[in-house]
Amino acid sequence: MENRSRLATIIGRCCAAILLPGCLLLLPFDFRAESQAAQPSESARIAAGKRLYSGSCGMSYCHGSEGAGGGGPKLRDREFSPEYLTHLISDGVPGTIMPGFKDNLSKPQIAQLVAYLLSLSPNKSGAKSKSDQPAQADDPHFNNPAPKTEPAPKPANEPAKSNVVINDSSDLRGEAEAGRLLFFNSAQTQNCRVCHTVQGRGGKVGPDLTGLAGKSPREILQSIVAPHAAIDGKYSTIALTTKDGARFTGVKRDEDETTIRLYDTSSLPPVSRAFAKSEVAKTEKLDTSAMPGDYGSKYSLKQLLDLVSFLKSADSTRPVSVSLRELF
Amino acid sequence: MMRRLTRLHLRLHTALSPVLIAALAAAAFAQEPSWPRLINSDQEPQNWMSYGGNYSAHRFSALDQITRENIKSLTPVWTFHTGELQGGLNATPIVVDGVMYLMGPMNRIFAINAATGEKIWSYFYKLPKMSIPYTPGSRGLAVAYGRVYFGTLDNHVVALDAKTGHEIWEVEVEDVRQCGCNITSAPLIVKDKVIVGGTGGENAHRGYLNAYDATTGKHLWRFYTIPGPGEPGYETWGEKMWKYGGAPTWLVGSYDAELNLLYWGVGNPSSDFYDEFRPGDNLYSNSIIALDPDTGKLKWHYQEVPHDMYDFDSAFECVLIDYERDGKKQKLLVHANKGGMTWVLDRATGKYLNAWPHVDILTWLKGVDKNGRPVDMQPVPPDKETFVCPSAAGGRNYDHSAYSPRTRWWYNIGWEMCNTIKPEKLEIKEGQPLFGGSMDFKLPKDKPAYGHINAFDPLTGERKWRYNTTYLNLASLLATGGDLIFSGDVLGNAFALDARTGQKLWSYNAGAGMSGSPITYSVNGRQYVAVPTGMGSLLAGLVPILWPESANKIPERASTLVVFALPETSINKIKGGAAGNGK
Repeated sequence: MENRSRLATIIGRCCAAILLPGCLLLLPFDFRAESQAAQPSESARIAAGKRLYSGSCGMSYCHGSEGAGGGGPKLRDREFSPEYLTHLISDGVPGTIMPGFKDNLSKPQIAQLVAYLLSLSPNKSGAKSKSDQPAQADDPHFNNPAPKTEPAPKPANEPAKSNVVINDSSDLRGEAEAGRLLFFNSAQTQNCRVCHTVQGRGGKVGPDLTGLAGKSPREILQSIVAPHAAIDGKYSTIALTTKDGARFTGVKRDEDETTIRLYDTSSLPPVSRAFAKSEVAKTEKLDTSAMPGDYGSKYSLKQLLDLVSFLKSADSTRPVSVSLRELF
Repeated sequence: MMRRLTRLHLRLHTALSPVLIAALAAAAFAQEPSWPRLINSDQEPQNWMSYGGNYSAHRFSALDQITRENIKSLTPVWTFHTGELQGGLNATPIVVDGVMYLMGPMNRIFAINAATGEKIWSYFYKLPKMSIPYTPGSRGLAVAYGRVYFGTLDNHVVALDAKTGHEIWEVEVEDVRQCGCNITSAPLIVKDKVIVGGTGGENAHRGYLNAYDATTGKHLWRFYTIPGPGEPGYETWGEKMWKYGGAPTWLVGSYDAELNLLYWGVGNPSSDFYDEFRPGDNLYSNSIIALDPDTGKLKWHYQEVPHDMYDFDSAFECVLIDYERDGKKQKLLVHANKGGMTWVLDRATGKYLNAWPHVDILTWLKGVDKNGRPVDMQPVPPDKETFVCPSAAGGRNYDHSAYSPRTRWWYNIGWEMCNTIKPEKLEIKEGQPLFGGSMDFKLPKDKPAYGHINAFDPLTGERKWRYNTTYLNLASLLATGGDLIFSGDVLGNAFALDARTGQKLWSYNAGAGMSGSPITYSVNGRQYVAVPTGMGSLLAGLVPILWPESANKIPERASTLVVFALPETSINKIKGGAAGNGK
């Protein structure tokens, strides 16, 4: 309660749009850096790859013990290039149940898996380069041509290691990791991600919030607690009235020659509704946001600080911790 | 009477105006099939209107034009290709008033003239470019109120106009990339709600069942199959795993209108084989839950396999049988667990009545106590291999059972195969695979793997007959008023057994292995049997492991519905010239 009454003051100040630049000191620290220690021997890499393989790939539902095959294709006595296997393991195969592992395994670990798989086909694998891979059209995992490898999206679940130093008399600070959990909170059917995307994950009903990281903590807070103050025109609320008099409000999803689709935001999660244009009497743009305006009372001040910290961190692998003072 | 629309108690939503709700409801609920028709579907044997054939999951039709005597004349009359091989054809087709609604793999939906096979419309759901959890196949859809409802492989629920195939609404359940879960089975319509289960038993995910308003798509309730802090049952998980313990609802439930109880089977806890972080019974994994469908509140539960270490889901169908013996009537819930045991409960109270094995080879328990709890469960210690029968694939899987009110026998499939389980510690990461070890399928000790189809007394488990199958039978059973049991095998043979003796009476090589669910229906007095062909199950890949000689026999992939009927000339000779009690 105390937090919430204090919040009212903060919201007022935010809405006054008196913006001061944040004072963030980012200390460089690459916590994902791999050790450049001596390279393990090939046999050690194969042994490590075998251990990784048995935990998930080697299930009988998947590729079976020692690549013997199971629910998924056989992997032993096949002709694979290291590049091809690296790509498959990293990115998976869209349209099949083969997942990509690049968010879960490091590059050295994927290399270990590749070494192990190549060792299962001692007379075949590794002999062919990427350009002369067999078509393997009989195998559902290999029907799609290898797409270009894109840079891995920044994972939303990086471990939280704050490297921010801010002099602040208040001890109330946001935690980016707590904010992330709140944003993507799967224990709630209503969470931020049902509408918004961050770091490539989430809904498309509202704006992608990754770009908010460049805004001040105050502006970010304002967009959460007072969404009506500044509306991105692309996500304006519209009201659609059908010829039989039914009226729906929300955000336009898309339209083609015959149909218009609307994210109905009257309840969350939003429901995408399709209307034949021939049945639509009128659409009108409203000057309110489709986003609920009650997050200032729904969330505690600490939770709001967490969310702001998470969004402030959204374009970085380094979590940011926003203090209460920065909201003034 | 049955077709007359009755007043439905639609919930008014504060966010939508009553006028709007009334307009939407009038438009949607004026169309067929209505709730009274759905819940009384036994009175319309010409149709197959829900996943289990009726709300008791009987997979029975009273149609009796095709009999034990004339079945040798059964012949294919049309086929339908979905055009997508990934995932085969696992679905249960739905037939309403001469139109078949079919869910193909990769969320391809078709409306088909059920008499001719002519396509009426198709709708291909646009899946994002992604790896698909569990299977690219699908087990089906639901049809009600002039709409087609289905869940998607990227975890959305969609409503289409049944006449045109045009999308009406769509709502996301949860981000598939976050939860590692999706929807591979049909929704169940209960009154004004679309009830939808989901996968996730092999991922770090908290399982649930969801209800949506059939008219508006609004989310109405969610029942978490793992209790949260402060809820009864939370103490059965320890502190870590309640958020990630699986317990999915990946198949389809049943409903008793008289008791107003919704029954749903819940799957295994994750991690499947490694249990350090889930020390208790892990409620409501491997349980039957009975919910109030109006509120989603739990009425009772019954756990079959406490603290599962074997991946023995309780996700399979809940078969509701009104049983009568020696003048005593009992309302049974009969349930085949993946571990090869069948549990029989009083479906009004959840009270345990009986448990008996439907497979021959079980190592994981020595018996059950007076409350039905397994005793002397086989330990599966970490970092070493333990030989367990049946396997994690089950004493059967989603090859559903059937019940005939004519014979009063319950027909169920059994698989005799084993596996080794080796638990290994695994990092827990939301949505990521969480097997917690490895598993290898094995032959039973000192004998080959084999399968069978059986007729049982549903309460006592007394076996009436057995039909032995060489390989796993992955397709569901269908019982008919002609005292026939239909199914299909992995070699591509659709077949029919005598429901009273188990004798094989008919077989047709349809050219592709089967792991879907056959149905029967009639149009203009002609009875049809529709058999999905094309295996999409992961289990199909296991057959050559256990039976190496089968590797060259299993047909190539397909995704085709093959429909059979008696020749028109012989139908005309049948007295009355009608199928299914004059329908």
